[in-house]
Amino acid sequence: MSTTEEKEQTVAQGEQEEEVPVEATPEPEKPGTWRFLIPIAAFGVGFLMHLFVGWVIFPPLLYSEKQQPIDFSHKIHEEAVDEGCESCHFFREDGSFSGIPGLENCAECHEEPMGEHREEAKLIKEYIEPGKEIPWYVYSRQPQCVFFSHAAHVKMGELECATCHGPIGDSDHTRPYQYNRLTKYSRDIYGWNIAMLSKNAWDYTEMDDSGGMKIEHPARMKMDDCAECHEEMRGVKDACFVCHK
Amino acid sequence: MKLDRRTFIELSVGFSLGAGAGIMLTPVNWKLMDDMTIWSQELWPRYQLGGLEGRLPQTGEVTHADSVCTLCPGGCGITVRKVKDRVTKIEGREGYPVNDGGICPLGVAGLQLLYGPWRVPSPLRRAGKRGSGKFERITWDEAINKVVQKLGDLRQRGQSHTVASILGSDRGTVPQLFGRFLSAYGSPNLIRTASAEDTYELALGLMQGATASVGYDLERANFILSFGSGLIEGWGSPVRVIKAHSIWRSGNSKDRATVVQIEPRLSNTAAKADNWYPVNPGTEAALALGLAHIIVKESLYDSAFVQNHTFGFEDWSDATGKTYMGFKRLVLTEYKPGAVSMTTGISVTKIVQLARAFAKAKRPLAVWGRGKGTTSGSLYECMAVHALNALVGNINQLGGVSTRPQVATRAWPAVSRDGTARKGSHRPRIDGAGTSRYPLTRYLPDRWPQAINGGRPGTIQALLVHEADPYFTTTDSAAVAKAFDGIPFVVSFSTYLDETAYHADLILPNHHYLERWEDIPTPVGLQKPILGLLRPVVSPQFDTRHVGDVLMTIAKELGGTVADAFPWEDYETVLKETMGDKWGTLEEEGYVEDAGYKPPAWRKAFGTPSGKFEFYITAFDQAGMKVDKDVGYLPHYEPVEAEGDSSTYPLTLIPAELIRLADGAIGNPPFCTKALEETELKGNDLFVEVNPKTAANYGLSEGRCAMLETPRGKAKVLVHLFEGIMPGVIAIPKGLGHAAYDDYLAGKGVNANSLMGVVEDPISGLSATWGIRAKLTRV
Amino acid sequence: MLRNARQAGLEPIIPSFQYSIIPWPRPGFSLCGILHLLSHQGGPGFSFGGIVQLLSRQGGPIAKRSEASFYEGVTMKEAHHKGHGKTYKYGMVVDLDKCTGCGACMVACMAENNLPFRKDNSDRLRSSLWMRVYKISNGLPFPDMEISYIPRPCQHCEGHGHHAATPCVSVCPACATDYSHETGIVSQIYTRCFGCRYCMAACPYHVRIFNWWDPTWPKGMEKYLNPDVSVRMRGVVEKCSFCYHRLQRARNKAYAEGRREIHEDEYQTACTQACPAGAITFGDLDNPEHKVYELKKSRYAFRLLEELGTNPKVYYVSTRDWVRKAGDVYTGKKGNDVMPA
Repeated sequence: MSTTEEKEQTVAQGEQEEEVPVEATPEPEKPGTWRFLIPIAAFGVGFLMHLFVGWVIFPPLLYSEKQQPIDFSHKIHEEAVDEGCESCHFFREDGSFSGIPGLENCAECHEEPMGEHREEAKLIKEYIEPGKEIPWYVYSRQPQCVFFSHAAHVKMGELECATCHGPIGDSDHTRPYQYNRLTKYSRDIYGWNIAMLSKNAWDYTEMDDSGGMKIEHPARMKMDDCAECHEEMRGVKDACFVCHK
Repeated sequence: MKLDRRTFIELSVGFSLGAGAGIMLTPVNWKLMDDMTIWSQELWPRYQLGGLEGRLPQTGEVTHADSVCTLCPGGCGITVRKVKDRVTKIEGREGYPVNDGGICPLGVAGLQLLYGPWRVPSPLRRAGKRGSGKFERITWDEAINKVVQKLGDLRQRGQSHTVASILGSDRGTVPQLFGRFLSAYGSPNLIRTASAEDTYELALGLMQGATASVGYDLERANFILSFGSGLIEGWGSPVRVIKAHSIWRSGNSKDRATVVQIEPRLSNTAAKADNWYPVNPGTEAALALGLAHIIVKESLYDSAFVQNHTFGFEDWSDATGKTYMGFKRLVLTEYKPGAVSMTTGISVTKIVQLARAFAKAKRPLAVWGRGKGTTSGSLYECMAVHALNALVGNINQLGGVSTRPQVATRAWPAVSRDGTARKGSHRPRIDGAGTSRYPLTRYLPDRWPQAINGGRPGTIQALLVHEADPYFTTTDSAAVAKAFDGIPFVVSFSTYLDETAYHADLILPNHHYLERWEDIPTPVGLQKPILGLLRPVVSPQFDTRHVGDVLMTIAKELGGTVADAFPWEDYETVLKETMGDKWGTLEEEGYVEDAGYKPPAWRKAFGTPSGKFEFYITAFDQAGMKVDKDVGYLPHYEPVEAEGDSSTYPLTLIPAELIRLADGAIGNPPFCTKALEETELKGNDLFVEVNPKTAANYGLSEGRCAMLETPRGKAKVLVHLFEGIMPGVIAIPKGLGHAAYDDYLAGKGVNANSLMGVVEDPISGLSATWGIRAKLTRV
Repeated sequence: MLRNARQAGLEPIIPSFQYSIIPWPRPGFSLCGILHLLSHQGGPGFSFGGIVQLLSRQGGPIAKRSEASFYEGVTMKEAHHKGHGKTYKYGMVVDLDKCTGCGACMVACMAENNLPFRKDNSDRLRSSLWMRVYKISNGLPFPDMEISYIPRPCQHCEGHGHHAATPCVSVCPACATDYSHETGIVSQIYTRCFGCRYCMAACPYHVRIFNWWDPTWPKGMEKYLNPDVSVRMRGVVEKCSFCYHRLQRARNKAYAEGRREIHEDEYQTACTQACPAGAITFGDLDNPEHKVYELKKSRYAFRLLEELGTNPKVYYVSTRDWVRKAGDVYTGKKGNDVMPA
């Protein structure tokens, strides 16, 4: 703070002294103009990082992948059996669906090796000979509370298997089984899209080149998906116990 | 820019907020929340269903298999529902002649017995003191060798007659194998556990000269006079009788029947009867004879039958000219309504009314066998009731009582016995049956403890038990326990760890009834012969073996004539060969019925010395029995006193037999225990039913703790005020008080058998205990 | 009346969290429940669902998704019946003259429906029984005392009025229980229930039981569990379901054979099947070909607590006057002593 008075004083004093160089008074210490960017940058970094974590890193962490015990080819078998899909996946007399066939179904043909495939050898050595049931991983296994009637949907509703299960009948290899580490349910139930925005299978109308439906994984199998179709078809939602037990 | 505190805070706060916002826009939060709820609901709670994959019941193919239930002598057909190879439900078999689709609570709960922790998992050898429950697993070879060694040893020392076997039944191939074994081995001691059949068979033998079981044509009777039988509580073949009861109660007047129940307590049967006559306990025979008095006096009896086909109704004289009193004179002089009313507590008017109603009914039927029919009872009482049937002429008639044989099967070749066997078999039985004192009785199942306790040491040196739990079911438990201590070697073939198995030295577990083949003889009380087939519905769940196979292996290893007596390879061969040409139908249908069976007509029916139905039993003299007085040859009221003096023990205790409570060789499964009323069991305490007037005398109120004491034992109980029981009489449920099995059953209540003793019927030697004197004191 | 929230079109708004986050059974409370206290049975109700329903009626602010397409020009009631087609009314007639009190129905129900059992089941308030046999007496002294047994499953109340007024359904805040107009069965969905036990308070017959503990089975006994029925965890309420899993199976079989009708014999409850006395008859109360149709018309037929207006589906037949009178007793009137079983 140099006042005129001080200057005069200084001049007065300074006639004997050297001239004190006049410094430019430093600007008062204002807060850095761009300082506010630090938390914003931190916010941004955190934001982006966690977006990345949530969308990219989280799904593989949450889901564990397993291969089916035997790499089964539907294509080969479809040609080999007499009655098509019904040879192994059939309705029993009481109307229940046989689901994934048991060991004795496979053993009917594979008691002795039919070819030279490595997987067949595995089947015979590890399962047929010791009489051990093959522990297939079921992609569409629903919780205990669900009652699903294949007869109602396939026989009465005339739905195609692929509508809910995907074009598995044309597959040559088994696809990996991914399941949620926390809930132990198959990823097929919640849908492969981590945001649970998978489409319903029947929403896919595009066909791929081979004539099958263009769908990599079958869509969700949650209650909302069933309920949506039920409501459309029947006009009102059914009683709870139609699907629950 | 240096990382000072402010920067640090700015960075970290900014970063966290960014992280938070970022995460919120990802599925992580929502997905984790959703997944965590599922995790906390399904995986974290301890279902204890074994592993993650096996945590819930798996669906699978549903199949049905038919078999027969063996949890009681009722022999109901069952249909077992299986999911893959697991049994998930037992249901009654529709169309089966005995039960036509119905089932009792014990039958349904049978599936808990198949998989439950009571199952003996493999042969066991006692590893601690008897009754400590410490067992060690051994192999089948070891177990069989031990038995062979012990039995062989006894035989060599000429002690083969000290081996005894207690079985639940003496009919069917398996009990026959036991009988054959003992015969070839050299022992007469095949003992069948007590039931009303003991007495009724004897009565039929004496009065009709028949060697057969009793059959009741319940469905077509229209007046049922029941002397204490628990018709809807498990008497006879339980489901069959309940179905008959529904016919009696049907709206269709043609089928309707009047049901009269005579018992001191308002049981379910009494509650549903048209009339309940609360008689003084133990005086049922007096009432029967009082009714006979009216029927005879007013000439309401069937004269065609009585005059032409009975002996001893009128007085008769023998060749020397000595006259003997007939039944008619006996009832007319000794059983006048006044006297009977005094004894029984039923008014004269009611006695007269009842007698007239019974005799005038179109198809009257008197039934006998207290409760579920699992106790022997007084012979004279049984004969008195049977005499009523004779008076109304329903013997071998529609809606009446008849003799019923078993379905004929192939006889086995005779056993060729060696010297030891012959000597041993001719020794007197340890229970005294068939001896000069009781020449006509075949089994005396309540006397074996006395024989051991009162006899020399070594009376029984080895005991084999099959389909029975004598440690629990024999009355006078203290004597039973003492007797068991006196038997050095006890072998149980039980599937479950019941009381007898608990106190055994070796357990060689039989297959569960759903795991084995066996023939099932005609159930108790059926009027037509039927043979059922028990077939395996599941493969054996544990390391068990069929008792038939085990017994034959033991016999073969004993060698000599014992081995020769069993020319069959295995039990299945025995079964198939014995069934003969019936095997085909048996295997296909699951049963063979002699649907056209008709009991013989009167002129051919009686194999007595007189050739007629005998009111006056001539067989006693023929058998060389000492009968005290003239009246001893006729059905009469022979009071069976309850033990204890009335001054110390002013009350009378009777057992209450309930259909929801198994009280025989099978322990009550958890489902059935769950079905018990809150006035029967609370926590671990049993209730005693007391009439409120009686309770007031002793200062007892509902739910109050009391000490129940009898001359045989005492127990702490809770009081339940019940107007359905006579003043002065109290009742406790029968079937609890187990010490074996597990926490689901053991330690609950008190064993009624431990509070009661054995009162012998003087003429047959069978246990005629119907109750005991008791006292109740506040605690 | 609390309607199914989904029918109100709320599903896309409320995320489908089907499970409660806190697994422990909580003491019963719910805002909806309190609100409902202000309403009366049969009326529109001040319940949450009721408000939603009001708002979501045709043309209302929250229109149902399918309303536009399907409900155009029709009332909800008509749409119901249109959508459902044929309706049934499954019910039971129990002949108390034939009932012997044996308890086979209780045990068959336990075996069929995976009911848990504990070491001490003597406290009826804590043990779970769906079908329960009550024992009542006429209250007279010896020797005039009489007793009768009353097997009591869930009564599957219908209530009166246009919409179902089942007591338990109308109070459930989680829509875990619902009345099905098509079959008349009141279902209980365990995964939705969070254990507030309001329904237990509402039910006048005490048919509902609460799972205080997780079920445990001695090792090996889990093998007999029926895969057709859920195994319940602790904290949920359960009740007799008229064995609707058997209806599911019967329909399964019918569909596989290409038909929609199921015969009387194809769907019977476990208790009906087990009863050795044939006292229980089950079937469609509205179908003249079913046995229950005629049986319910008997002049000796009565329903429990008729005066409450629950319109239950279980009829009882007894020729004994005092038993019929006891059926409608709400408080112990003299001479009609009701003994707790």
